[in-house]
Amino acid sequence: MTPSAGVAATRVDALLRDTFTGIETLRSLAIDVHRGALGAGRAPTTGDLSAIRPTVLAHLSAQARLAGTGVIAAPGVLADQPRWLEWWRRPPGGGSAPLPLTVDLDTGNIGSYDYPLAPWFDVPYRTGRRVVVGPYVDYAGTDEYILTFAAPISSDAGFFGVAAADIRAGDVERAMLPTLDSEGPATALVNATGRVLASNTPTMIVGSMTHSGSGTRQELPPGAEWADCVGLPWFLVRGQC
Amino acid sequence: MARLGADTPDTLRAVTEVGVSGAARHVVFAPLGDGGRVEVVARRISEAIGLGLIADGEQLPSELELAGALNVSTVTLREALSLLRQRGLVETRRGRGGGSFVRAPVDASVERLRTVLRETGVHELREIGDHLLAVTGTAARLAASRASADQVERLASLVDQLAAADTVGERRRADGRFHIEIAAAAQSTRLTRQEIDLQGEIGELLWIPFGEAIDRDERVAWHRAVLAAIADGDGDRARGLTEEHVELAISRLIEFHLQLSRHES
Repeated sequence: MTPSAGVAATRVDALLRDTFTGIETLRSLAIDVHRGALGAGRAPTTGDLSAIRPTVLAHLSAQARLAGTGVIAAPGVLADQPRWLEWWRRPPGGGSAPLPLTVDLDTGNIGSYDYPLAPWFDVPYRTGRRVVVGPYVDYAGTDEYILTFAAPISSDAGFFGVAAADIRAGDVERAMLPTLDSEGPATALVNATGRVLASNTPTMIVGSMTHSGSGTRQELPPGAEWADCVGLPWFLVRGQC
Repeated sequence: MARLGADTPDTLRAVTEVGVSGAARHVVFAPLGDGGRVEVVARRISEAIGLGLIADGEQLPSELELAGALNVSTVTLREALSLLRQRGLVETRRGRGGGSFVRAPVDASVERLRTVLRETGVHELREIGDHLLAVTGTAARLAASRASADQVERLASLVDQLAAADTVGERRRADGRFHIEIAAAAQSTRLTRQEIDLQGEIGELLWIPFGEAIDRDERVAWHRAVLAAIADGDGDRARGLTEEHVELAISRLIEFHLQLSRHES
């Protein structure tokens, strides 16, 4: 690995660490909510889950990079709602106070938010592992082009849902651009599926797929603590220029 | 496939001969050009019922007359009526005063959709179709170069859902989701938002119960072809196929609209 790729790996590691630290806090709060209700002999409610709200809002104000964060309940876990998100977001463009995410959860509607199928929910649910997804179009949810970082909320009380955080693709791009430029021209940061997360060239733009033939590809090896995280490693791809 | 046909003198004569009144129904019972497969006959009659062109409780012409009008054998017609009986759309009573009667208890939502389709003019339907062409066609082209393997898999499962969908609501959702997921696979938030709006606007009209402008199995085959083009990374083919099926659906919808308009007058 070249020293500068080491810089890129360090930046990616810092991004993961910052994001998952907040998620871990929400995860353990949600487990407390789950255990507390079951201990009282009842299923938790949306009211119980709202206990995590001050922490969610604190994370949003402390980390400018977050587009949104919170906890998404598994279908059927809460007593008073079949599906539920305790999720707050910073409106795009910034400036205004965080808002709760309002989505259509009526599965009969074409534009409803069918989150149990989303990889950021489904992967932690099925595998018990953390996941990094994106960039992707979060349609019917935030309606934005984002990355989602998510962790399963599981305990002796069972599976409760996932704790997660979103970062807008545009913000990842801004954060990574200086690092990419230090790598030289025509450099892209690419996710595990080959999709461009950020680049400094119009020939490999965010969202496009890179193929094995296109330029040289260098893995940004994640540290041992990310061994359980699906969606890693990311890569640097250097195109011909 | 034979479609609800043009308003030719032949079809008018066929109507007069079987003594069916009503300005719209001559189109419904126009002769079928291709000799008439059972499904085609059943579909045409069920469309007419779905669109309310033949009312609940109304008696269909005799088998002989209907077979003659549609230019199919009585065997084919009987099989078609039997399909319609299975679907609960037609009831056959024996004896004097017997025959085949339409059973189409109409709920308010279907009545509302018919009204919307009747009141949405050809120009407006064409506008929606043009918009769909631009959004859906471009999304398909971009998805061919940007879809990841798991997105292709997800799309394939939506086609399977459509193939297995028993109710019209399930069909509408699986079909609409397929198009929305293609726009999402194209990585475009703008196209995805527009596709959601368009599916919300047009989806219900395309899938009016028994007046479906889309044949499910035909649609499934088409979706599979589009998906294969996307999986092959062939954007031009994906766009071309998508445009063709948008155009077909819109032209059927316009046909239905015209029938409803004639029926009213």
